[in-house]
Amino acid sequence: MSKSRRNWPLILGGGMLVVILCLAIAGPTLAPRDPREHNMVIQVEGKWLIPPYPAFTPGFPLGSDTLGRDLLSWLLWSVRPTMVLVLIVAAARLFLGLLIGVGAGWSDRLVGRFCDGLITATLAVPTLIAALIVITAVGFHVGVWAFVIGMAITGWAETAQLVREQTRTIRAQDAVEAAVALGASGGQILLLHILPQVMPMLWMLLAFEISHTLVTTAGLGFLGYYLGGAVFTEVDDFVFQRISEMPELGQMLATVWMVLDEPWAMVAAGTLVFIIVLAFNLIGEGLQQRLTRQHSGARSLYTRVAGDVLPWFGDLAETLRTLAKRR
Amino acid sequence: MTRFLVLRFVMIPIALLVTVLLAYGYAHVVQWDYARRYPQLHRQLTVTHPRPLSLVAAYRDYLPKLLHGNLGTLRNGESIVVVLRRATGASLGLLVVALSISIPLGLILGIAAARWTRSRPARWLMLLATVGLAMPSFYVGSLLILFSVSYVLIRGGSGGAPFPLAGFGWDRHLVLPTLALTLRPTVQIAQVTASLLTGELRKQYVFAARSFGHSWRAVKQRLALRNVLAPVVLTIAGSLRMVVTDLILVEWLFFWPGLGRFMALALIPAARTNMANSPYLLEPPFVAAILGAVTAIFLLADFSASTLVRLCDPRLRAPGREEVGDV
Repeated sequence: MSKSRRNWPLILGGGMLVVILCLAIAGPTLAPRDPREHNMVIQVEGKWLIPPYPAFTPGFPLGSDTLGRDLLSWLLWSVRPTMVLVLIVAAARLFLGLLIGVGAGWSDRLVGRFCDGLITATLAVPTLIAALIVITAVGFHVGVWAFVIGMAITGWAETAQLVREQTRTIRAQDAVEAAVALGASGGQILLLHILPQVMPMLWMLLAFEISHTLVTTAGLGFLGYYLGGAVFTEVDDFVFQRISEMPELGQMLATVWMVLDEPWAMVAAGTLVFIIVLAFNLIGEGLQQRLTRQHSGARSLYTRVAGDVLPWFGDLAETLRTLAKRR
Repeated sequence: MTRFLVLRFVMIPIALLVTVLLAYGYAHVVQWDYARRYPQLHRQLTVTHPRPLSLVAAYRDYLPKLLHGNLGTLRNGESIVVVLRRATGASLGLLVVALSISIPLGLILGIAAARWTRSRPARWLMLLATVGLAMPSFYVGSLLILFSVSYVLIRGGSGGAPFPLAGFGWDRHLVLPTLALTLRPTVQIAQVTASLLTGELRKQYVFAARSFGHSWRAVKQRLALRNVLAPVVLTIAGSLRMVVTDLILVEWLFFWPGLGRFMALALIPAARTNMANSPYLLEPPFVAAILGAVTAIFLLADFSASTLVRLCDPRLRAPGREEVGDV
């Protein structure tokens, strides 16, 4: 492969993904301490310290929380549950997106119009706000399913919109017209023509879904909604501290930023989120480039980015695209 | 055009009323559900209502007040109108400042990165966009806090941070929240502008203009930019939605008392407060007012964008296109 033809986003993203997978699998082994271990008092250079220990304290590179729990160990333990949650949500969003997208692109009848309307309406609701509303309603006691429902309830729409466009493109192909002329049923066309051509997009869509889901998960976590819930403990008169016993990236973001003049732990957790999101964005971008090379005329980078924005304007965006093509 | 504007304008109060009523109903149901689980909240609620009101009775109580412009009071006796006015002012100020930086900056970067020699915009913008879009706003905010704290430490702790790390004010307090909000919309606008312009510059009329002796700069800025202005306006309106979502996180991080922060307080038990003592948590008229205000911003942004697009592109004002854009 020539240098210019190398798919750098895919190579870089793939490399980063390998590191993230290693961290998810071996993170707990690499952690220097048990993340749940309370260290209520430690001695450093002859001085007795009580938690929270600042960053760079010996034995606590990122510092500790108010119970003296090592934040580095907490961070290393948190990748696995977060990634499991994100994968479950992304898979649910992808499944819904495929189902509704194919429905909207394939059918011209009531089902198609319903799916079409559903996509347009759902795209108008910001995912974070919808997730906040739904998770509050469903409640923490439901556990992981509250997050799956909250983040999947509107998150599927972008995938559905891409799949709908792809399905409509495939539907207009001569091969599909020929199959109809030969008497193929709707189900046969769907299984033999539509799905095989939509499936190559699957990995690209999954990569972008994981990246979007992680951003939403981190945002929710930062606001205080994270996996595992929390226990409220009164630490002072009328002041309650949220204590969590489950390491998770969102939970770290929620609890470590409370002290604004000690942002190291927050930056460390945020950087990890940023790297994972970047890795999946690069993989998605690389896979998209590969698809573009395989099928000329596939979606450009602009349509992916603008695709997040323009659908909110429904037919107007469609008209602009048509006019741009005509010119 | 006039018909479109009138129709669209009439739809705004209807959509707003529907949102407010749905939000009120949601908060009413969820609040009593929470009250069953949290005795303190139950005690507070039963001070005003010894028994839970049915949803219909609650609407019957709320709707006449709403139609008379009375949004009600919080559990601590504070007027919701006063809180809402203050919060809307704070958020709109932040939004206006953030967008007045990100829109021109995004356009300048996009125009600079557009190329006529290749099918893709300049690589530096692609890199900037990939990194920028992977950075959640709260992470950008935490990096800014880290830089501020490092600056103080480098100076030996003398003097404060260059800009306040938290709080509200129409002075230096604006700097950090604005910077945290600006990055993502800037790169998105730049990316879309660059991609559209790059595509536009490969069209025949551009080469014709060049053959008449116009410089590339003149062609790009006077001819091509005008032709891509409509989708760019839609992207800017879409960016506003993204900024409003980010507003929740940024206001939460910097303790900015705007709509985003109050929305979080209304929907989320804050990390350091006992949820039952919060006067905002799931208070139905307050949830309705906050979600209504956010929806109003979205609707007005849509209306302004759809109108501007028609002003930018005469083809959209042509007869037969009147209904386009009715989302």
